Amino acid sequence: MLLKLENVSYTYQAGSPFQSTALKDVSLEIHSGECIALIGHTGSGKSTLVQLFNGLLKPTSGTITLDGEDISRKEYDLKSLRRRIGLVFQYPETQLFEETVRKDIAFGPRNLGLAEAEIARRVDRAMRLVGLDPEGDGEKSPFELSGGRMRRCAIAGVIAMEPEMLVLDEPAAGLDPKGRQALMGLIDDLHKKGVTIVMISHSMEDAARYATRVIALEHGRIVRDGTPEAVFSDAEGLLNMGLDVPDVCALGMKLRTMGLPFPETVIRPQEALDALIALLGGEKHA
Amino acid sequence: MLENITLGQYYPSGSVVHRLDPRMKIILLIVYIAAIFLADTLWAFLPVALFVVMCARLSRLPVHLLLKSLRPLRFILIFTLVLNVFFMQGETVILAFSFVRITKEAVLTAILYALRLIFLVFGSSLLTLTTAPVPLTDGLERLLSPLRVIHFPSHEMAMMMTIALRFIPTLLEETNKIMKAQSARGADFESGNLIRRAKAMVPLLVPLFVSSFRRAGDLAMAMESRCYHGGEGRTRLHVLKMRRDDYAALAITLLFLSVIVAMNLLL
Repeated sequence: MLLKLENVSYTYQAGSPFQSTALKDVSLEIHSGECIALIGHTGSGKSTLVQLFNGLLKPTSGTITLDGEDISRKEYDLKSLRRRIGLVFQYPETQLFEETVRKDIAFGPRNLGLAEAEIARRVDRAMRLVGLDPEGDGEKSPFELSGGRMRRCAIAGVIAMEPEMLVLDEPAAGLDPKGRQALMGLIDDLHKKGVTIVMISHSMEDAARYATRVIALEHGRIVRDGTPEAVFSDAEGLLNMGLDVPDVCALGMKLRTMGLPFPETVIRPQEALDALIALLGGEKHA
Repeated sequence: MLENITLGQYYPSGSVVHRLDPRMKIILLIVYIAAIFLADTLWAFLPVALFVVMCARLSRLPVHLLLKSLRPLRFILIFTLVLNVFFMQGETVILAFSFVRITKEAVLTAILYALRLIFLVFGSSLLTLTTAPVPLTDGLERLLSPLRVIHFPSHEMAMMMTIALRFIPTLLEETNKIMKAQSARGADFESGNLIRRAKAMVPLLVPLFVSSFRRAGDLAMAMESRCYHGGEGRTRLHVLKMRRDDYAALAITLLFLSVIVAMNLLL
């Protein structure tokens, strides 16, 4: 699967006095198997960008193609697009509506017109993946669940559509540390199962730890695009733009100003530990 | 589709009419309405029209905005016109065709009724176009406050109106968001017959209700933690005060009313 954006711009309320440009001349390619962290300020255009991916918004100019086919054309089958590219919005638990958890998760697959047996199989699978118990939780009302479990139930609703690419808009926002960890673990699992992941994140630690590629947006433009090492090694540049960096990078900057040779490409805690031990002249940590 | 809904119709131009006390504007509207119901000859609508044009000029409003306010009324207008023309009985027959009898009096009444409706809408639109929703409810509250002696909850009513107005854009935004989220799950809001479409609204309405109730609870909490306890002894940030302009506007409107009354007596 190849999703390709070419010179895409998006303007809200174009032509009215309230128009505001959310994206300017964005070009990017997303390949199968990637795990992309999308970073940037609130209002930098991240949410707009991900809504373009599955045709919820149409670009004001530029083209978006999936495997070479233009998805903005009228004839393009949006249902099949949304089956292939799943989108989890911010605070997805606000979209729960059914009487039972099972029925809510089945909403997506049912809209795809699948057979009942297949729907049941997918619901079971999605529930297990997100850590809900198909027997115990299935017949509960989604509104009985705790906040973190509601979030997972909502995400299961998208996973049950078995998309090739899963796009998540700040999936961990508002969760407690434990819930956050469980959720990031789930996303990592899905990625390992072969699902392409795009996640908007404000946690640079998560971006450094889980992503294979980091894209930074600023004022509707892509300002950085590369491996986490490549993007975060320029900690100073990111900080100057007002973007955050992983704590390890901030530490590295401090050490370097003190004249210590702490490598720029060290962005994760484990590597930092090794680098520090090396600096202190000790043995490499096992 | 939801972006097209404009809320209220306040058109800020900062004119002298905009700056009038909202209480005075409501009173003026009542006087004006009384005047157009007193006007019972076609001639009497000349000063009415002049008055409206003058107000519109003073408010610096684009004419099409005022005309646009008639749009929702067009069916009622046609309906009353037709009804009056065909069913009013009169003496001077101007057209007779088998059982249809159209009289001069009927045509005249029909036109008068239509004119009244049109100018009624112009007048009330002038109020809502020149007064933002919050001052408007504020003014209404103050005007209705004497009714508290008969236990009319004027403060509560105004507060409810203000809150409702405040949350309409929020709810629209929320609706938009949930619609998108459900569309991403393959929901289809736009095709199918009526029953299908009505059913498609469930995934939209349930979350909307849930979040509205939660929001209402949160708002009540937030108001209470800021010591809100109803209107009793509450002071205001913007104290309404009648100024010279307000009295001048009152004088002009009363003059207008007396012209109509005089025309009634003399013609």
